Amino acid sequence: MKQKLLLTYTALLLLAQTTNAQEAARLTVPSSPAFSILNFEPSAVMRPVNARDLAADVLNSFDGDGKLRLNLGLEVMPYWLSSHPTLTRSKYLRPSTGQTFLQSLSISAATVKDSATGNNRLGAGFRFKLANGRPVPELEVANTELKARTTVVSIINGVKNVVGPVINTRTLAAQNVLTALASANTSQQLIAAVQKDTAELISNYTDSPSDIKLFLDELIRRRVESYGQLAERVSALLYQRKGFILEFAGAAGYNTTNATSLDKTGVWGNASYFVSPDDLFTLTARFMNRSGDSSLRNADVGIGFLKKTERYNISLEGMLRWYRAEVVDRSTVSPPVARLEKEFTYRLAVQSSYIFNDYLSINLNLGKDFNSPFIAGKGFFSIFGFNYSFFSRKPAELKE
Amino acid sequence: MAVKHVDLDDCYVPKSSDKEIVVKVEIGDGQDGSYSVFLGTSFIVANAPARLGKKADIMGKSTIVSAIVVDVLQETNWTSMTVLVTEGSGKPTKFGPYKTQAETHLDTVIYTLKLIHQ
Repeated sequence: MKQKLLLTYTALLLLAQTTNAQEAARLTVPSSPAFSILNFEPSAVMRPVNARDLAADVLNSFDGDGKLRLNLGLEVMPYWLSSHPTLTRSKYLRPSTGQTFLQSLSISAATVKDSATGNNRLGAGFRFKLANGRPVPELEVANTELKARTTVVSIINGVKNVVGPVINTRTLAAQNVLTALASANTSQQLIAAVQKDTAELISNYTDSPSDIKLFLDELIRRRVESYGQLAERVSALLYQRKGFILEFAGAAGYNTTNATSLDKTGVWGNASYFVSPDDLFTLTARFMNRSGDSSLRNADVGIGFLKKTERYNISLEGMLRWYRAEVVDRSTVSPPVARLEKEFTYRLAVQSSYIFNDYLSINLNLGKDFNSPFIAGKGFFSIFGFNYSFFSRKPAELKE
Repeated sequence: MAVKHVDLDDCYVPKSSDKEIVVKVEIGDGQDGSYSVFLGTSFIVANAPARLGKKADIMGKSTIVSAIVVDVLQETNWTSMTVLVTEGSGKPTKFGPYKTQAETHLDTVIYTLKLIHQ
């Protein structure tokens, strides 16, 4: 047992190191720039989806004394706070540059109490795209299938709304549904599914108009249930893009303990080319500025390649960094002296992982990290780790 | 996967007696949807402009537009539907946009518009 625990502990340690190495130079734009600039993921993140929720969330961000609450995050996409009835699916999937900006603009903010210094900090950031590739072909296939299924529901609902003196029995209502489905070129498989549901349900109801409508409502409910997973798949495929993606972000961090002062800023730009959703080339540039006792300004430019398959992932990355650091050297015998360092450094890394089964995977990271003005050393790293899960990652199948 | 019903009523009186009346449906908010159109108790068409006939063919009847929108966008829960009625090459008469938010992601919204022709 002790051996098993030691094994798990070692694996976790290696995994943690791997994660840190990967995060040191991630070649992407941060998903929430405000959280990234504070190096903090708030425990509560508010994501309002309409103007009323936004107003409520902003009000809830202040305590009774009118002060900002701490450890809170807010992410909002202004364009999506209101309805856009003229935005068709086609425009949404293939937007112009201006429309891409509007659809993708997100604003984030976060507050945190710095556990090291005790200072209160506020971060604010934005992120947007100017190009968003094109949809994957699988989306068209899945969407057509979903549309066929929702058409069935629209026809059943249509018949439900014409129940009356003419359509006055369950059998007549069911016949009308099937005739309309046939006229709409519905597949035999979907018609058969409606027939099966009808046969199962029809005896549970009477021929009163209200009961016929309840019967058709139940048919609708069953049909809606039948496309749940398909809708989920369509929703996932909407966000898988191929081609050229251009994205920018910016953020600022403030110390709000006494008077508000700017202590960190960052700007990111990323151009990626997705050969497929799992296979991409990426070019990233970023500029970071940190002021305080020790100030650091760095500009990074990097390129990378990432390939993901079911079994293995591999990423190659190279980054160039120019930095300027002002470090205060303190000594007991002389007053503090500001040391200025300007240097060029680089990072090269190969990261790979291989999944053997649901329980076991290995990963290997090799490379050289940036030189740091605060840490001595060459920065070469080689990390080999494995991850073993004692429990299956698959959810348990519940018996009815 | 909850279902939300939005039931709507309105009235459309044809302006001319010799022009063909066509009903089109537009789904907004980046969502996709399907729809079917009924005139009286007869199914006319699904997911395509519905040619209802001329004024004499529709007077005294109702047109039912039944539209289904599944909220698949992660950015928003908004869904919307606009119905356009055109006579010949004239300017369309717009009904809507009708809009509502799905309670949760992946919910289905069913819009039913009953247009009475008198």
